[in-house]
Amino acid sequence: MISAKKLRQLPLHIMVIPGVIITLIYHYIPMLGIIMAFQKFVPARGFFKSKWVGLDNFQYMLNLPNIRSVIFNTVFISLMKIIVGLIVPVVFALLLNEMRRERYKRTLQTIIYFPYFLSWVILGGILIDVLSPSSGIVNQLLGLFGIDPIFFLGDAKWFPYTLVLTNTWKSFGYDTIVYLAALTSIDMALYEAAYVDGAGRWKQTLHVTIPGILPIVTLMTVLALGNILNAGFDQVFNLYSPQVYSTGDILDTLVYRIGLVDAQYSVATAVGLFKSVISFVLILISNKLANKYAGYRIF
Amino acid sequence: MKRFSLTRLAALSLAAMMTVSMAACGSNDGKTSEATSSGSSAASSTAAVDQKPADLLAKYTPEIDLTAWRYLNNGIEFAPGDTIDNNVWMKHYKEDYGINLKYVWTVPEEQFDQKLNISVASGDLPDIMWLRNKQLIELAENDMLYDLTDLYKSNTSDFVKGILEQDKASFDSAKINGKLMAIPSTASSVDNLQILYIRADWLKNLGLEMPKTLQELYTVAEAFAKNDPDKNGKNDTIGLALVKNFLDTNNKHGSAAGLFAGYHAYPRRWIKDESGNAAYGSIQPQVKTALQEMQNMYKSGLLDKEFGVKDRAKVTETVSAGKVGITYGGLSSPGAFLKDNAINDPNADWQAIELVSIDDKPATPVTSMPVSRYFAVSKNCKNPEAIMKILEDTCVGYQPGNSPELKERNDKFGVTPDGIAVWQYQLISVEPALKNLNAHNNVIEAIQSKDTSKLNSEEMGYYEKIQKSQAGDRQFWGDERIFGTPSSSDVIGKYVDSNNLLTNLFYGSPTPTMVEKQATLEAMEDEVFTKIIMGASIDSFDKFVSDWKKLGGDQITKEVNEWYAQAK
Repeated sequence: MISAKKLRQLPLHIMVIPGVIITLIYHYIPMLGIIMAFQKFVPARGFFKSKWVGLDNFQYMLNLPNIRSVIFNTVFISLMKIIVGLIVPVVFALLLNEMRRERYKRTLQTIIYFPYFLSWVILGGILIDVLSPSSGIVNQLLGLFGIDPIFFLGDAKWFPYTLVLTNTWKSFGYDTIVYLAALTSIDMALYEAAYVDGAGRWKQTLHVTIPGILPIVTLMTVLALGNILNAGFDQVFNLYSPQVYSTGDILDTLVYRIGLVDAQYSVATAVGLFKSVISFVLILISNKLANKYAGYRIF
Repeated sequence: MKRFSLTRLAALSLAAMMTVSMAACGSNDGKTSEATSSGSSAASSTAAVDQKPADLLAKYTPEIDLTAWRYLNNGIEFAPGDTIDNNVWMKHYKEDYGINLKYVWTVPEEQFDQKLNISVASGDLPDIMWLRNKQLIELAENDMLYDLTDLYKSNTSDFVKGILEQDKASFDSAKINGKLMAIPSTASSVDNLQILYIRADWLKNLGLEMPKTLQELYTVAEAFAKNDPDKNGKNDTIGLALVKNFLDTNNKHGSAAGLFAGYHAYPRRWIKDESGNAAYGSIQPQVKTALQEMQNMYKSGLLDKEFGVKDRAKVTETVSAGKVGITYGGLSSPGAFLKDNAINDPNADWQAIELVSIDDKPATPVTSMPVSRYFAVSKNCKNPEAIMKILEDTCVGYQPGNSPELKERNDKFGVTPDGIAVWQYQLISVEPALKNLNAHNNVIEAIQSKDTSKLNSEEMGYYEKIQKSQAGDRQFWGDERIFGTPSSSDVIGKYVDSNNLLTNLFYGSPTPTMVEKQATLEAMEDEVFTKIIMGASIDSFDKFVSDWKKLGGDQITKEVNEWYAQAK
């Protein structure tokens, strides 16, 4: 006999089925494709008739002349993105939260949210103008302070930081909203209790607000760590140029050139698999860390 | 070619390029198209014009099904209600040849290479495929394609063979191990030769002469960058326009190929070295000299300081804004690259001249193989001869003469009286190699003699646009400077007449090592060359050469020479 509780849950289980099927079709079945990484895959022959080559593709990948700098760039850029992308929205959410006038708060929120909707293809064209050393508004502003023009997109020293800053500018509005949502879920009684105990705004923030959003901050960071080898293909692809390859070329742009431009599916798959394995390990580690330090775990 | 068709004019001139040709045209176009819109009558008359044995163009009974994939040319337009699956050509194939054509997919041209790679990977091939050279080789070597050698011999008229084989090298690129594995989409190769463009009005403003050597060109560039050639009182001009992919052989406008040619250097091309072997152009010492000079130009402000991040679209903005006085381009540059500047500024007078050289040896422009797509037939296709029918059919338009039937056909299948380039809907189209140059010569002749009776309708289109341009309509300035005189065609004509041109030595499909390493090597080349121009030590060129050789270049050179030994 099915218990009453199970019966009650039955509709919910049924509703999950389409999602499970779609996940299977689009996420699990394509995973079979990773066998390409161990083959010399010839499209016309298919998976079953292509020659097996063991780890040759991985060896080839590690012998690519610029693979070290590419991996370093990838990790460096995405680590910076994670750190800056964590601090800025949290600070901004805290500041917004302190705002009294609801109307200003909403307006500001909308304004900072807006760039999130623009694609990098569009922003790429805009940023080349905005960041131009000769005529861009950013360098003109810097010029007012007597700073020499900086070639943000063309100077290999500056390029990674430009990536981080523009990425943060584009996406911090979205993250801010996530943290704001977390802030509203903090029990008002805690603030009242703190107030009664004599805590000012600053102490309240320190002892109520921040601990209150810590789980969600941890969650966002843990999720981001899993993406450490994704330094943002769209962005880099639309902004980079040969002169910044040394600091701007990342794994995804390399895979793009190898896999889609040169049609070397096996090598591209090998690089992709390499990325996935590292990401998987990182997620496991960060999940453990999150559990240990914040008492929060995803799985 | 990709960007070329972004502007409307370019789309139209491209349309015209491949349009079926015939005589007469103009004001009575509207009436005839009305009269011929009843399908089969027009087609039977075209069959009559064609002098082939009837069986080549015979209709299939019962009808056959044919599947295909293709891309949609940039700038393709459809009449209301038409789609790529439902238009005059699709009806023509069905009603006149009994061919039910069905596209398994169509994508915009920019997405074609990716989609093609994925579809070839899936192994599920349609009867007729548009392919790039790379996939042609790949499929042929895996025995997935139908060998067209015999069919081509038996089912193709001499007239069509003449069109396809006008440029032997182009035609042969579709042969693999001596077998014809596809119909190459032949086009004109001389159209891609480099041309130097200079604003003559700026020269006049500064009291300078048209440069005849590279040294003189540098003097002019310096004056353009520093002496306020546009007389607006501001120091806002640059000497030479360059795009960030200045080495890319697929892009003509704002490329550095013409400048390199002035040093007899040919980066990204394969040339013959002193011992008669194939050698890679980018690693030759002449390239180093040219880079050194470009570095000097950059240092003294003759180049845009930010050229390294600006693509074609961005540089076109700079040109349109009237900031540039010198650029290298190709035949189509006045229409695709310089026209907006000419429209914005009625004084802008871009003149096309031959490349200038650093020494007493003339600078020789270089071109690559003009075939960028192939029409191949799947091995599993039940009616491989159908492609030959369609090929015969598309060439009907090139028949000489000006019979009313040909004119009717052009109105219906070429460019409609409303200006819609319906020829682009065809499954297959090919083009004679010197077509644009001939069109230019015929148009010039007609302008001098005032006799337009010998022009075919495509040429008549140019003639009329030139008339409009000369009457002061700057919208047609680009057409005049491509097909009129003085024009870019004049310069191409000089190259052809004096036989001062090179063709890329290697036109085979990428060799195995190229497939593996080329992307990496070219990325390295882009990086090193860009950095040298922007001030890195010129010695890094020598390091690049040894790196290039070490990282696969030597192997590629060996493979290219193996190919060359066979192709010679």
